[in-house]
Amino acid sequence: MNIIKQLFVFVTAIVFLTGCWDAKELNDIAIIAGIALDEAENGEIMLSIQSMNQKEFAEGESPSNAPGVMYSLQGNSISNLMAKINNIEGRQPIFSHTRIMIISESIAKRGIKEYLDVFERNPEFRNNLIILIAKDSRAKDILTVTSPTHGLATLKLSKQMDMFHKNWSGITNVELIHFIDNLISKGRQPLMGAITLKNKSNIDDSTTNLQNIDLNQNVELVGASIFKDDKYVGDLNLENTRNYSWTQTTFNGTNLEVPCEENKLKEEDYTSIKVLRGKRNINTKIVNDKPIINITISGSGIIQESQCSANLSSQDVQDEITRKSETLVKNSVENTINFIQKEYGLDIFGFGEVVERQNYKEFKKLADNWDEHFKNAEINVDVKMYIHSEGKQVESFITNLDEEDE
Amino acid sequence: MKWTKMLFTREKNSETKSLSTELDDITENVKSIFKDIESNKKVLKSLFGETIDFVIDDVQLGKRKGMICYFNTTININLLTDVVYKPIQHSNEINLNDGIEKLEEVVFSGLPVAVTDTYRDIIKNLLSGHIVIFIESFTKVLSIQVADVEERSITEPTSQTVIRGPKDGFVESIHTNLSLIRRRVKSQYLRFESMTVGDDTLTSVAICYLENITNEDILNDVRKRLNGMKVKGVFDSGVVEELITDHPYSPFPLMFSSERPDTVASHLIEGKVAIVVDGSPFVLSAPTVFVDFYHTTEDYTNKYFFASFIRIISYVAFFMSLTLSALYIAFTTFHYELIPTLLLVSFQVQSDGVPFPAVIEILMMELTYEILREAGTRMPRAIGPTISIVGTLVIGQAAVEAGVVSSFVLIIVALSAISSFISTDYTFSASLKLLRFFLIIMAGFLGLYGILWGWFIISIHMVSLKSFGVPYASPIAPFILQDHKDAVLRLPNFKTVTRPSYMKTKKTNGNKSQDGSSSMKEGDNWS
Repeated sequence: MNIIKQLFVFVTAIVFLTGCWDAKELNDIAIIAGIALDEAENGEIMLSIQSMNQKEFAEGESPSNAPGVMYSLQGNSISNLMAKINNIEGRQPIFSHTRIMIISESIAKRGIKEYLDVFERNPEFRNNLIILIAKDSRAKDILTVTSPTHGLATLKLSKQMDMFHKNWSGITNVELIHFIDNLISKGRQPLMGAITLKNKSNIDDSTTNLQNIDLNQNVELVGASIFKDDKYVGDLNLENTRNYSWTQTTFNGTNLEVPCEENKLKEEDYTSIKVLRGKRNINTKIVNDKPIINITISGSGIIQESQCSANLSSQDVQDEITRKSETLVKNSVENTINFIQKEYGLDIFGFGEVVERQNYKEFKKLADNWDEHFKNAEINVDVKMYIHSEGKQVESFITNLDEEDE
Repeated sequence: MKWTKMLFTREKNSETKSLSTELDDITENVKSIFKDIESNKKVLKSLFGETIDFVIDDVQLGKRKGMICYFNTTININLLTDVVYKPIQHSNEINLNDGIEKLEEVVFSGLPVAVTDTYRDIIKNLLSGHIVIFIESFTKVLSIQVADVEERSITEPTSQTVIRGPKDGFVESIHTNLSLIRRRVKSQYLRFESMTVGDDTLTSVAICYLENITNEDILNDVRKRLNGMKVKGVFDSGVVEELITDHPYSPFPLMFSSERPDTVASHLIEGKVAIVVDGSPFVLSAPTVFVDFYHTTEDYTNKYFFASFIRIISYVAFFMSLTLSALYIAFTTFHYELIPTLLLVSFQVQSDGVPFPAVIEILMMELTYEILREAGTRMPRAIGPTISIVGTLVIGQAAVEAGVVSSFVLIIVALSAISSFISTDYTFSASLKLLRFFLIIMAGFLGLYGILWGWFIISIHMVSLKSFGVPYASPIAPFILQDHKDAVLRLPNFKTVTRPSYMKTKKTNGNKSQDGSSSMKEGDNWS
């Protein structure tokens, strides 16, 4: 009897005195698809949030209105702005579905570390929030771009980056957590994906963008941005970003254009290889405080396109293409590394981390000015390629045509 | 708290005198049968009063006066004429000086005849379809069973149907039900024990078990509980179940009730005790474990991998019927991060026009469904289809179109309602419903944390239950690996030759097959 009474009081207290404090009804929330940080006057920061207009995503209704709404507020701290957002918006913003955060170039130049803590501390944000830098445009402008296929450019971006990374290894999905990891790592400098807003005409009209086939406004991936600590210092173009990816574990596959004949002056023909798998192995040594880094890249792929007259059924021709593709990868990766060494002297490749794992004691001595040592490091690249298929055809019809000509 | 006391203490003394104690009183007063017919007639008349179906017929038996009495509502009149009146007419030569037993041997040989000498037995026999023959100057009487009660023929079970498998079901007559069981289990060890329960109804109840298998402790427990029952009327096995169950306050049924003789037979072979109640087509079997409620006859008639697949689906359905509605509430009011973005958006579109919080929406629809279901069950058959029209069209479609509920809520409620019926036992699915409401309220207040607490409480309760000494959650908790051959999954029949070890049977290996092929083998040896 007594127990039942006690239990009754206990359960009633549990249920009615505690619950509901963080309950939000579905019709009171706004799903935030993207956030943007811009510089504002007086050293303040401008936070822009883009909420999805759920009605435009409803099943069975063709989109006709704006698929999202953007609000901007300026102030000193992001969390304060997030709390204040309801002075312009009627619903409670929820950030748990935010995948994209865009930072403007100007703010990145100033340094971004003070703005990142809130995203790591606030439990609403995901750790895999992708952070991107907006080149040549304000970050908030990216949020106004619409996409006929995905509704909002921010929704398109996360898919776009996944696909681009998968097919071409063009840009790494730098997520917030990786960025911060790289920032605090002594053997690596952070990198961030870069996007830009392509405006065909000057008409700034986001909803008519939805009616166009050839988009007026579109968000494009342009490579990556190099950071020295938390400050933006320079860019990597798409080619260099791809070459950078060869040295990373996240490498997924790309496409190689191997010239048919080297040193030919006329307009060149190419054999195109789709690289399906790539693996890199790094061995490091430290000799007299000079790091020696040997990178072995192995990849495999299939021939996808042949503009040459060479007969692909011959083993010699295939060996030739393999050899050429190895040189191509070797040269381009070496070029990119040399470029970074000379131009920036920043170890964005994370070689320092490998050295730390492999030669811990030596690295401890070099750690404090690793970037200097990276600048002088001897870096050798060795490439092994393996081509295991020629696609649907073995011999190209071009081979036959050229033979007839002769 | 007077009401709690009333609720939680069992009623001890009944206010009116029960029939069985009355019978004792009668036999106190009238110890033995009078030699004089007229005195006996007087006693009987005072006992049964002016009821129109009680017949006292004076006859001449040899040279003595006799009297035949019976209730014409419980006996077969044609049979009575054939087996009693006709032989009596030719009984003049019989010398009755040798005693009344002589009559039994000569005139009524081959009939179910009993010789009794107390009024207590006479009353009982008369009420259960016997005729009683009094003869002058004898203090013993003959009672002959010529009972005949109109009964339903054996039909297909209505609540536990199968596609492939036996189609016969129990009926209301205890005799037919016992014969159905005996027909399935042709074992010389099959025992039927009879007892009478219900102070006012004197219902006969039979305990069935296999003497060579069933654990003695379980059997004694069943006997003890049935004898200790205090109840006025027993009209169905449900009454018995509630009175002898281990935990009457638990929402889970601790005894399995089945309409199917084959299910009961397979339970008997597993070492369970079946309780057949006269007047009820539902036979109880005990002890029962949780997994029994998800085993069907068809599990054994189908291929084992398909049966295992169906069982897994059933357990998924069990979890769904309990938690699906609660999960919807938790996800849409507390944990948006757990839903994919596009799904969340379409949830949001749906609930945009709905003015109520999700928990109210769900509770509203659950209650509507319960009302519909209950009305559909109680309604006269002729207007049954009205319910489905009202249910699907009016409540379902119109409620969504009117913006009272979102169509996702409708899907969720419908799915959890359907899932609850996958159990073979209706009582079990009814108890799931109550637990579902409990979880919905927990989720409404505390989100996933609440569901976690709810499940925590339910699981603790479930593993604490025992049915006649057998842990309710076995073979899952306590985990018994060897019994998993036929628990969550079903291995092929040739792999499942042992009986469940949690039943603590006398013999551990024996054939579990349902057609009693083990006794067939023994039969072969004898021939």
